[in-house]
Parts: sequence; C-alpha cells; structure tokens
Amino acid sequence: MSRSRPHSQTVLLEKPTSPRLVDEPLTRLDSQLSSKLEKLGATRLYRCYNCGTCTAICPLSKELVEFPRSLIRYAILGAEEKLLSSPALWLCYFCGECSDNCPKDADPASFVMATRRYAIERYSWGRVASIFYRSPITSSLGLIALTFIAILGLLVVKGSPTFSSPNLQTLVSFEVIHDVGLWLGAIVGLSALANLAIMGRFVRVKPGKNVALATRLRTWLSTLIGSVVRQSIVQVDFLKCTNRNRYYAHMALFWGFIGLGIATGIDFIIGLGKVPLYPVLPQRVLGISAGVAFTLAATYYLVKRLRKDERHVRSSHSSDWVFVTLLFLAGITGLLLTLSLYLDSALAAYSLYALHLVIVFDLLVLAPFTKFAHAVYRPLAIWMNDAAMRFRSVGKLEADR
Amino acid sequence: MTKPVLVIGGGIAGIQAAVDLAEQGIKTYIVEKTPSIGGRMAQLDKTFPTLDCASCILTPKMVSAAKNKNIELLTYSEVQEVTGSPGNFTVKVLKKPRYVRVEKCLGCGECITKCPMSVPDEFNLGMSKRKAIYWPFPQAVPLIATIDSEHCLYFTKNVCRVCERFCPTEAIDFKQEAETIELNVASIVVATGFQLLDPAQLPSYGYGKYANVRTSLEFERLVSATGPTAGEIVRMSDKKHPESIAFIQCVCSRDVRINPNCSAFCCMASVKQGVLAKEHLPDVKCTVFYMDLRAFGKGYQEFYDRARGEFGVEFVRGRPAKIEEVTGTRNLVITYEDTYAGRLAKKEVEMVVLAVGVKINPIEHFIDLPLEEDGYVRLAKPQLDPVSTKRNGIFVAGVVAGAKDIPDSVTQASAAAMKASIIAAGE
Repeated sequence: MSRSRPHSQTVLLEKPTSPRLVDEPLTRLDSQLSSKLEKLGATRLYRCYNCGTCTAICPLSKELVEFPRSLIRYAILGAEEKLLSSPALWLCYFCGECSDNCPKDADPASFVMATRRYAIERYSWGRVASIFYRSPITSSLGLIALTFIAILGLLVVKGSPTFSSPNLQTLVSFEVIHDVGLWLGAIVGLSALANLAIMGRFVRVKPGKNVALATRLRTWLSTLIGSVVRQSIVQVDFLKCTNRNRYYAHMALFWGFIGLGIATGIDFIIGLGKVPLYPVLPQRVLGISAGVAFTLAATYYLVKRLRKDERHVRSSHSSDWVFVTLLFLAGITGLLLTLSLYLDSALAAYSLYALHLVIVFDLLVLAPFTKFAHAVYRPLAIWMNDAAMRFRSVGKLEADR
Repeated sequence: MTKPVLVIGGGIAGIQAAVDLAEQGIKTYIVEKTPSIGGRMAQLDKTFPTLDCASCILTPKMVSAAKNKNIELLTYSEVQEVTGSPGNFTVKVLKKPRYVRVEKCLGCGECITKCPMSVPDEFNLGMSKRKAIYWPFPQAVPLIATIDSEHCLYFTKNVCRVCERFCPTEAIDFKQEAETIELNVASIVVATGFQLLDPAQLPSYGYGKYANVRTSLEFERLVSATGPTAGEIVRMSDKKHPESIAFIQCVCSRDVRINPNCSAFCCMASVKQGVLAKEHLPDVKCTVFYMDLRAFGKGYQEFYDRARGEFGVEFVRGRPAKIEEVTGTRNLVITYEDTYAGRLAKKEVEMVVLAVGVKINPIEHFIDLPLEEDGYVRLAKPQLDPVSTKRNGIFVAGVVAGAKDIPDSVTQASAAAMKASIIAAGE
C-alpha cells in the first residue's frame, strides 16, 4: 500500500518464520510517521522513553492486548501498517490514567487520540477525511462549503412560513425533510461501510485452515454479539476506568443519540409530523429526554475541553472542537426549538429550525470522516480483537501478516 | 604565605579535597554538620565495580584527614554565613554544643552503654536504635560522644545525668553552649552532598505503607555488617530472609513530576546490591527493573555482565506502574510491562528495593551560590571548568555539582582542591 511512498523503506522487523517471507517484508517503515502524528496532536510523542508505565497502568490493557506503549513504539519506528492494524487503538476510552502516570509527560492518551485521527484519515475512502484533519484551513473550508450546501438546499426547498403561529411544515415540508433524511442516511451509511471495508483490510483476522466452518461461524457470531452488546450498548469496559463521570457522559451521549433516532423513527412510521404538541405523547417524551441527555453530555465534553482540567485534555485538536461544538449545537438548537414551539414563538422556531437542520446536516455528512466514525470503528476493532483472542486460545490463528 | 582554605562537608569529596590541600601545606578547615566525617559513603557496605568494602577504603582516608596537622576538623558545626571575596572570605561557623568536652573524651563508650534513652538511629535510617549520647557509627572520626539534646532525659525532663556519673574522665558538660567562630579563608570548596528524595510521594509504590518496600540506602544498611541486622538481609515485616528481591530503578528520578534528572549512580548501585544479595543469600532471586542500564564507567559494563552471568541477577526492561501488598504474606506484587517482550505481567516478590533519586542538601541558607534549574549548583563553565561556581574563589565537589558516583566525586574533589590552592597561594 505504501510501496511508492518516497520516505518508505523496507525493514524486516522480525525474523522470517517461513522461507516465503524472506522476499516479502513483514512491514514497511515510514520515517515521517511520527511527525505526521505530531501534527495531529501527539505533540509530546518524542518524549517517550518507552518505559511501559502506560501499558502497566491502563485499566484496559491486558495480556496479549498490550497498549499504548506498543502503539507508541510502532509510531516511533514508523510501522504504519502495524499501527493501523492494531485493534487496541480503538479500545481506549480516554480516561487519561496513562497520561497522569507518565514519568516523561509524553501524554500517551493524546497520542492515542492523534493516532485515531490518522487512522480515520487512512480508513476513509478517497482519504476524504484528510480535509478535516490536515489543517485548520482545509477543515474550515470543508465545513463552510458543507454549511453553504445545507443553506442553499434549505433555500431551494423553503416554503412560505406562516408567522401567526409556528408551523414547521410551512418552512420545509416534512416529506422533503424525510426524503432528504433517507438519502442522506443512505449516503452516510454507504460511506461508513466503505470506510469499514478499508479498516477491515487492516484489522482482519484469519482463523487457521483447520478450523471447521461451524466453529468459525459460531466464533464470528458470538464475538460480534459480544462486541456490540458489551461494548456499544453497555460499554462495560468503560467501567474499568477510574473516572466514572466520563462513562456517564459517554453513555448519555450514546443513548441520547439512539433515543433521538428512535423518536424520529416512530415519527416517520406513524405519519409525518403527526405528533401534536398536546397531549404530550410518549415519543415526544422520549425525544425530549433523549435530547436533554445528549445536550448535557455534549456540554460536559465542551466544558471539559474548555477547562483543560486534566492532563490529557490540556490541548484539543481543531477537529475535537468542531465535533464537540457541532454535537452541542445540534442538541441545544433542538431543545430550544421544542421550547419555542411550546411558547408559540414563530420567529424563534423558524430560525432555530433552520439552524438545527444545517447543523444536523453537517454532523451527519461528516460522521464517517470525523471522530463520530469511532461509533463504527470501535465495534469492528473489538469484534476482530475478541475473535482473534478466541481463535488464538484454541491455537488456530493463522499467522496473518 | 598561603592562607587557609575551607571545605564545607566532610563526606568523601570533602575529605579528599581537604587531604589534597593539606598535603600541599595549606591549612584547611573541614566543617561538618554531623558529629563525624564520612558522609554517605560511610553508610555503604561495598562499592562498585570492585566490591571493595566501603569502610575499608573510607576509614583510612578519614583517619588521614584527622591526623593531618594542616587539617582542622570542625565537626558538629555549621557554616552560617559567607562574606568577602577571593583571597579574603569571612566565614561564620556555628559550633553546636556536644555537651562533651572534646579534649577529655577518650571514646571509651562507657556513657553510651549506660545511657537509658534509646532513639531511632539516623545512620541506619531509623531501622535500629541508638542512645541519646552517641556516635553515629563505630568508625566515627572524631570518636567523641555527642549528647543529642532533643532526646536526652536531662534536657527534656531534667533527670538522669547517668553519663556524667559514669564517665571516667569527667568529660560530660551539660553547661556547654553553642559558639560562633569566624574563619578567614582564601577560598572555599563546597562539598555538601545530597539527600534521597522521599519515595512516599509516589503512592503507587507504597513506600512507607508496605513494610517490605525499602529504599536502596536502607538496603545498603541491611546488607552491611555494621547495620541494624549485622548484615542479614531480612524483610522488615517478619525478619525472614527474602526468597526474591526486586530492585526498581529511577524512582523519583527521570520523572518529570518529581525530578527529571538521572542520579548517575543508581544503576550500578542496584547491580551491586543484586550481587551482594546473591552473595549473602545464594538462592535469592534478584530482578532489576530498569529502563536504560547506564554502565558508563571503567569496569562498569563488565561488572553488569558479571552480575548477569556469574551471579544470575535478572534484568527486566520496564518501569513498574504499581506495587500491591498481598495480605497475609505481605509479599509484593509488581505490575509492569516487559518492554522487550511487549508483555504485560505481574511478579510477586518478597522484598522490593527502590533506587531513589537524589537532591542536594540545601545550601542557600548559608551561602549565596546560583543554582541551575535542575537544582544543582551552577558551574562557571560546565565543560572546561567544571569545579568553579559562578562566584570566584568558591568551588564545588561531589553531588552538589551534579549527581555522580564515588570515583567521579573524588576526582572532582581533587580538581577543586587544586583550584582552591591556587587562590590560597596567590598573594
């Protein structure tokens, strides 16, 4: 993959285990890798003296899944493929214990986040995500362009709103919103799938040829369910981190998002825009409470980054600000919109609605190319990691790369 | 005519500087704040890389300093103020009262035997007791008893006076008072040495909480024949010989949170302690946790090779993240990553020795010398004049100028003595 890169050089990292491998490099080294990661936020990477404190202190690091030191080592060596193939990269929940205990203040937690940015770039089709990570300028231009498209689209589909009493239908008809929503969902979904496929090429696990098909299927399925249930729905491993507040915030954000999705789905199924303000129906209760949870969590993250009150959140990458701000704005405009509807304030409702639509458009289109993408990368990584562990425990993992 | 020189600090660096000056015919004062010269080296059992007995090579130097006609020992004394300029420094020295007449005390030790008051012995780092009238260690120079007025029953409760009753030469003098003298010297060698940092600031290692986690200096006393256990390596919790010992390097050093500096001698000290443990307890398993084994001096790499090959000391590359005590056995479980294997692991050992980093003994209250950001005295020219300070006529030797081992301290001391003598002779 990096065969033609000018700075790449071929080095054997390990002794060849079979004659076949003699001609084939085990990995390629990119001497520029660490400086690329530094630009993405791993600004203290060079300080690392490779002592292993981070790995030994990390509540999630365990035997056979040791990180983050191994990842830092790959980065310093320039072993890009090793880095991108490590599911461990996605196991971290950013509790910051490694950074608190690092004797060199090399900030391993920020390194992991920077490496994820790099991976998000590399996993994205056409490396589209580079726009949002390479420089604040391209990132701002991309965001402005996207916002411009959203505003333009809004102007095209805009109706003539009635100002006597707010009726969102009159600004944009719900049919249009839902059609655009479906198309958008399809495009975003396909993008995410394409990116997952690229990631899959890196992190794939191959069981040995002697593993029976039934065993393979059973393992793949059980580890998939385990990964989704344990790490997405409940996120049990997050509880191993000492700082529980981050767990609650993350769960609120995740479930808030899911809740909003369900409320929207119900609205879609039972009929467009048929949910009246009074009586307050269960789907509206769900929507509002999910929105509140979502907004509170986004506020928590925003405040955390503003206050810089922990070692590992001392500095934030520009992409972190974009992401957390979009989350916060999406949540707060949604809540204020609902409030303005109940207050019967037409002007406020229409402007908040327009703002809300533009922000949600930005957030969704960007999802596969920003931090949001961890929502799909993490489960895949955990699935592959669990499967590899399972296959390895029966000694039937084919030497992969 | 040459003028006198002052050496502040009676450790190995100070002694070396003073002896070199005195042998050139220069009158030299050694001001030492404790009752005896000898310093940190006196607390060591053996020295790397030759495994020479520390006392056996230090004591003759101490005696030669004491016997030299040109050296005046001012032990149990502290410098209070330094004024003046090169060739003409005025130094105020506080002679603390020993409550023992120096000229009468024969060093028989009768008072020490009879003294009823026991207090923790700082020479053995509190692992044993000494009396309220004491000398810090049996080879002390001068061998004169000193009453520790903080603990003496006469001073605290106005009773006892047993030492006075039993002293055969009537040397005890409870009425002695502190005395300030003034010295006029041409130049000064500062060799005030170091203290260990407190590893209790790293709660993850449990020092002070777990009985069997000790510092390297405490281990040195344990392994020493003059130590609290007469050379038996034992666990503090049950006084049994440990079957396994872990030595952890760079504790409170090379750590930006506490002290970013390398202490220079800990690597070899731990290699040596591993060897000593093996010599004392041939079946003990010794593991040294390190990051970079700095064996830079003459014969050091060979010594490390011997420790591994001949003595079977194990070396693991990785900085332990935490130590936990096992309830019941009071063994210690170390969590670390073996960074060569890339494996996360736990190791249970019966004793842990922390190679603790150092800082200089404070000097700012008696001498105005600029310090570096790293806490050591700023040198005039670190490369080509590494013994001169920013103040003309004041020189440094030993750890006060940067962490270093005994050979380097002695070398620097001789160099500082040479510089100091040039000013002393220069009128």
